[in-house]
Amino acid sequence: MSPTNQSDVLRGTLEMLVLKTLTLSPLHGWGIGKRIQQLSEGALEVNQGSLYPALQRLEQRGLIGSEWGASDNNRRARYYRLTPRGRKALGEEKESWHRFVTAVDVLLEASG
Amino acid sequence: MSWLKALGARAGGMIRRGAADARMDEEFRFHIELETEANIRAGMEPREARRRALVAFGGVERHREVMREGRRLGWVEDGVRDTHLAVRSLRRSPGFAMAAILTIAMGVGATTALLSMTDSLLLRPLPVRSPDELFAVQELRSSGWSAGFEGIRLPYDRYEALESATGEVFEGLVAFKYRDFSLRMGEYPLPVPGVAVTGNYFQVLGITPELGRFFEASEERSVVLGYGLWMGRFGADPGVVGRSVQVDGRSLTVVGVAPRGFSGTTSILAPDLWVPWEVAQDGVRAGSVSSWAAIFGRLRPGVTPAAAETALDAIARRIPPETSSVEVQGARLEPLRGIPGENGRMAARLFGFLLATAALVLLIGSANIAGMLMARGVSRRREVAVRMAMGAPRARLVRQLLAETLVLFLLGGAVGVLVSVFGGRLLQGISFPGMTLVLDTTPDLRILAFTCALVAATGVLFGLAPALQGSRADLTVAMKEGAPTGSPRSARGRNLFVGGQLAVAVLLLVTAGLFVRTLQSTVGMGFGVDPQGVVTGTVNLEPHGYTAEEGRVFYRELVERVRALPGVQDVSLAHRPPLSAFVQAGWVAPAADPGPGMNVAHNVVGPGFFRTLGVELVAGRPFTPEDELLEPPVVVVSEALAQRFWPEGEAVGRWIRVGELEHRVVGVARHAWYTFHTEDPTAFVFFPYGPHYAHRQVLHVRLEAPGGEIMEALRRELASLDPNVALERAGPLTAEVELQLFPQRFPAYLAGLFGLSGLILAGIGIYGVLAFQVVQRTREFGVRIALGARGRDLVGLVVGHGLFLAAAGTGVGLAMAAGLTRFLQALLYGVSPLDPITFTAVPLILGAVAVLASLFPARRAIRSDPVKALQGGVGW
Repeated sequence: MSPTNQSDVLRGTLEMLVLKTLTLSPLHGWGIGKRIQQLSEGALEVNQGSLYPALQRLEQRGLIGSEWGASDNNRRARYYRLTPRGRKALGEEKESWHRFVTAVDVLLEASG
Repeated sequence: MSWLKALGARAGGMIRRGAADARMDEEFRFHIELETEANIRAGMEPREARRRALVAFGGVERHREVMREGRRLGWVEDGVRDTHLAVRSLRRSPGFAMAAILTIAMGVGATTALLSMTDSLLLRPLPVRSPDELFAVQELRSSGWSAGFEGIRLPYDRYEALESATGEVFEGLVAFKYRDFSLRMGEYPLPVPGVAVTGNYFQVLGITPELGRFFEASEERSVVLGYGLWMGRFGADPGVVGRSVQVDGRSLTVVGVAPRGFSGTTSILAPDLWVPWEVAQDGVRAGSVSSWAAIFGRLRPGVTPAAAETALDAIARRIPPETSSVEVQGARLEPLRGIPGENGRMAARLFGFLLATAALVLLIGSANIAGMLMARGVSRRREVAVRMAMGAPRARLVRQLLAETLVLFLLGGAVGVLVSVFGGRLLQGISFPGMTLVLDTTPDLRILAFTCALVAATGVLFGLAPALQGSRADLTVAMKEGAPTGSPRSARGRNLFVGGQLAVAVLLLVTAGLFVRTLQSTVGMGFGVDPQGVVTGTVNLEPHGYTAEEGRVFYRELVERVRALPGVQDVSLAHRPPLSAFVQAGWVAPAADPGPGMNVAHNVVGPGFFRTLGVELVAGRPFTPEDELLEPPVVVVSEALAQRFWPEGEAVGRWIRVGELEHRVVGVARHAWYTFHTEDPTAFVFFPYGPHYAHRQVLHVRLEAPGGEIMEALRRELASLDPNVALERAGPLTAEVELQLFPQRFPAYLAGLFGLSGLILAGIGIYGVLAFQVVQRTREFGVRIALGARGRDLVGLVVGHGLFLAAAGTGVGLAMAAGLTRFLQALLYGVSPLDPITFTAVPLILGAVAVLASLFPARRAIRSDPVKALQGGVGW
């Protein structure tokens, strides 16, 4: 597998995770990172900086939207929320993820 | 359109770069602050907390760059990557790519070339001021008009009367007429196609000269050169203005050069000279047919064409015609554009048909490619499945597969445009004696834009189905099984595609067949004359100030000199060349019949005419020199006329009435083409040359052996008699025959070419679908062989499938053809639209091609190795 493909997978995975965290409520970037950590019970650590390009890509694809809002201690923060298309995309991503896992399983079985 | 929105967002990002950067920095800062605070809450020193936060965030500058790139190049990058992938994937199968590109190139090339031709001949507006205000004026007359290439001609007096009466309607009314002028340059005078025009011609058209000025009066002794002539013969010399040139033996001053791209008001003909009317017509007898002119005018501002036509119609009825025998029934306007009159309608029909055929070729080609793509899609299942597993969304896969098709179509389109340009060059070279066809096939921007749109639309249309099908891979099945098996559904789809292609190919072949048969029937009718070894040239003394008596002496001398030339077997004069589209006609009746008789075309021919042209006389005798003096006058009639007038018996010795004069029939000529080759066996009358002198004569010379320096010798003899008279339309009679056959040959060649392309493409289609199925069924065939099937059985299986496809396609195609060919009726001659020979030959040809195309895959089927097939069948 070439490195390009690998980063593709990771990128796709990160985006899926971001979408997942936004299903509950809108969050700012830092919050998203923390939420992923929490939900995975610390198993997945997100490279914090790479979160933002991912957010930008998702926004460009119209899967999430964003607005400025006030944070807990009343500071200006950018909040991201899931769009209806994003919700749909998450469903598809989930499904394709399951397919992928199945396929890899099958492959591993076959070569073993 | 969500991608449009995304594109907009990205484009907006490019513009609002500063704002986006500021937002990004603010977000980053906020993030690091929160992280720092969290770290402090976890018990770190503030400095350490901030350092850790920065480390956890990673290189700020790098993230910043990534985001900027993402904003800037997102969509360009995607496109580039898709294209890149597409090119890479196509390079892996160069054979497929080449076949596809050539296929598209054929269709696109044909369509573009024809579109350009149609555009330049019929559609493109004249390069003049507001061309839509210009209209040709035509009168509807009981008789008494003549047709030139530039349109209906009327007496010049009539033009003057109309001109002074229609001032309310037209800003200006112009009289014009195409004819050859003799230009003295070099050793012999050069025949140059030109236009005699009234002084207001250029002003009414509203164009500006390339050089100098235009003339302003019909009497001005001046000439305007065409751009082409100026470039060619005058070396684009800017000093040409003011120089004097010899036109028809008169010294005329060059006052200007017409602008580049302006070639008169009629398509096909490209005049090289414009001469003021009075000067050009000097010496032409007023009232003679040579003094007639075509007319066009520019409507006054605010006058609608309909209103103008109504007014003109009333005016034309009011003005008394030149003689009482003519009745003017009205007048009408026709846009001044393209090819005038009936010729134009015929050309429009022809080009419409050819365009439709070219489009069908493109259609078959595209269907072929769609078929190939589908087959490829099946064999690429695994690749697609893997990519889907890697997380590529289906839309992205579809886009990538589509990108492949589009790359193919764009490359094919580009090659096609080149094909159309260079193929068009071949057609541009077509020239006939005294006439060069101007067929501009260079696509202009509009046509290129259309071609691009056409190619893109076809690409999407025919690429979408294979792309959708290709991306619909069932992951687990595809990956587990790994074998390139197609679903029955896709196999049916491919069969349908090939069947449809075959049907269209049959339609193309039938039309090609009908045109070839038309050509065959025109040629097969026989010319009645033997054009081999005969050269002709036209001499026109009219502008040179000869009297009839001087003219007779001139021609007698010319004939004698030519007869004395080495290699000349026979020589004769006639008013018109055989096969001339422009004939004279008059009313002829048997002398005993009091009725008006029939309108019969005629020619005036010198002694030796029948011998020179090889026209056989079935009865009686040809003209002799004595006939010139004979009283009463005599005629030779055609076989058709003889049968019409005296069906029961001998024609020689009978009398016919021409006008008021009675003529005795001395001979009957075998049927021949005299005017139009598509004419029915024509009633025709030949008069002897003697009593009917005309200033314009066609010299016919039969040579003992073809070739030699005869043209040069003819020009020399002519120049020695009068250095200002040019030999016009000089060339072999066979070339004249070619010109006459052109309207039949041109569509026959093109339709034949398209039919052949269709046939080849259909053959490839059959081959493709069978070859693919053989590969798919390798195991099955292997098993069959293992079970004792012989090679013959397998061949039968494969060829049978091919023939089945061919039969189905042919059935549908013939049915379509039977329904559609009647629309070609007007373009066919001597052949029924349901010509049994064509309708029998086409299925046979297609069947043969189907068998041929099936044999290769069949051979492969025999070679299926049973052992391999059974071994490979683990997952089967």
